[in-house]
Amino acid sequence: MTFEEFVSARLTSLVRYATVVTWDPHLAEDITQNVLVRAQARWSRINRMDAPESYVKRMVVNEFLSWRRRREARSVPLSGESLAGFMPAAPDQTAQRDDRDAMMRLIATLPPRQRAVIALRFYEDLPVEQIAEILGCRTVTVRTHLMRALAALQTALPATLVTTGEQS
Amino acid sequence: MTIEDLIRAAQEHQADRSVPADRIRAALPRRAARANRHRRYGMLAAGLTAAAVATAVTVPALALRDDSPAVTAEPAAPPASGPASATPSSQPAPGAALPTQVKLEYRPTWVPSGFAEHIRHFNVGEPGDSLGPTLMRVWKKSVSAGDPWGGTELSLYIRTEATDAAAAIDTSGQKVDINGAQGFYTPPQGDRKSSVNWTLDDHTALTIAALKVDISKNDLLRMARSVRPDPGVSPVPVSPRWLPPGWETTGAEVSGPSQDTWRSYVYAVRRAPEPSTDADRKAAKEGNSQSGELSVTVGTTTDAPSGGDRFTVGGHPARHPVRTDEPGKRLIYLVVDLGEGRLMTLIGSGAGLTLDDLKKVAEKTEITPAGLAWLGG
Repeated sequence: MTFEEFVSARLTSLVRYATVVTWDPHLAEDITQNVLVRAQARWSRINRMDAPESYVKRMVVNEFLSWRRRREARSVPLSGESLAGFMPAAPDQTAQRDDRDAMMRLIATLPPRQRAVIALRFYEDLPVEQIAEILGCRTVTVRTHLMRALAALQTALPATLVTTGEQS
Repeated sequence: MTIEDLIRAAQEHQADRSVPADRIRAALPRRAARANRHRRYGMLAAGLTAAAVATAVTVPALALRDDSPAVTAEPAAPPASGPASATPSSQPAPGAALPTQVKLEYRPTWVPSGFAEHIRHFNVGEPGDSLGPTLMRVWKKSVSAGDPWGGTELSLYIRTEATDAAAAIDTSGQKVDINGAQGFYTPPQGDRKSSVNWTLDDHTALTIAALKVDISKNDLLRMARSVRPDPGVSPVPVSPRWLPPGWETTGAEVSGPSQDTWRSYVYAVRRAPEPSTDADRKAAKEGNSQSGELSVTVGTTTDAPSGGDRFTVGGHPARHPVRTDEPGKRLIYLVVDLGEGRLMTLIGSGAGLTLDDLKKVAEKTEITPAGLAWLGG
């Protein structure tokens, strides 16, 4: 597969992934462009890998977490009071969109590394071991990030919502 | 529903907010050229990026004027199958790269019902950028008085100083005719994003892009084919008359529901060489980079956190919020209450920028809210 073929086939998927990792469509655009420029320069090597797309996605998350980008990963400061203001008292069918929008705001408040971990775990459906490999850390570190992210989200969410055991 | 389900639903919705892939693809040649320049000259990739374009920036204007006449002119009649005739040069503010008024160049004379122009965004581009300056004109069904981005939009990207216009556009789409010029239509791929790209000459590239709009191919092409030269200019209401040495303005934006609820920001940068020593790299990593970014926004809302030390700037109440989180602790905020519901917000970082610098920028910023009748019109 040539670089151009890769871009044509996978760019939409890649930029959606970057948008979920960064939680900022315009930062995602910036990062995706930078990563693709770098990938193009060494495409002959990347293309020989078993999973070129996985490698490029790893470049995206690492670019996001690098020091150069962290200054732009501005979380959205929200007080507990303001969170309470847009959380419904109890979830029901009609409140699902509100729940989702509230969750979007909550995810924006997470530290960048926690945000990246939940992107890899829930959007990409990757196992913890693979996330650890991508982030270059131990699995226990990934589990810690995941646990803290879920705890932070659950604290601000209606008590009726439960986890499926990600924290254990 | 579990929390994990809700996270996935939120992530899918967030993914739907991603920018059009063809926009990224079209920009790759520019990015590659810039990367080559940086490698060649060792320059830092600072400047106005797409991310910065959307970064909320607020500007305070303490020298407020409202007596300037609107200067936006009606477009000429000929279709945009050739380059627009030359228009008077815009004069930049002293020490600035940004003109005080932006040449509009082109506009669609037809847009779908319910859409009105609500955003004009201009950036001068990087020094030596093969694409040159870019003007974005955006039609939306509605827009807030704050950050205008997000939701349904139809945009016209105008680049008239590209060194190679053909390289600036996405040519992977279906070939279409735009008033005799070769164009390329990229249909939505389940993402409600579509676009038409075409060039008018070696240096002029135009793009009509739809985002989160269920617009037919015929209507998008109708909009593209309605594009005509626009001899008008658009004033930039916010004009910093002083910046720290080495800084220059590189981008500006005007938006809002109407001319009474306008919002405008100006973006400035200080470019610096890429860190070459370990000490330089450490300093940059700690937020003491020689390069810097500064935005000045004037509007009825602010994106700054609440609270902060209170004082006056130019006789106006002001405050200095501080963020302690990792990404925010290097940012310097200054919010000036201009009165009558107007706030000026300055957000800066890097290059040794200080709160005193922001105060001086605020004091020297001139606001001229004229020529805004196009907002929502």
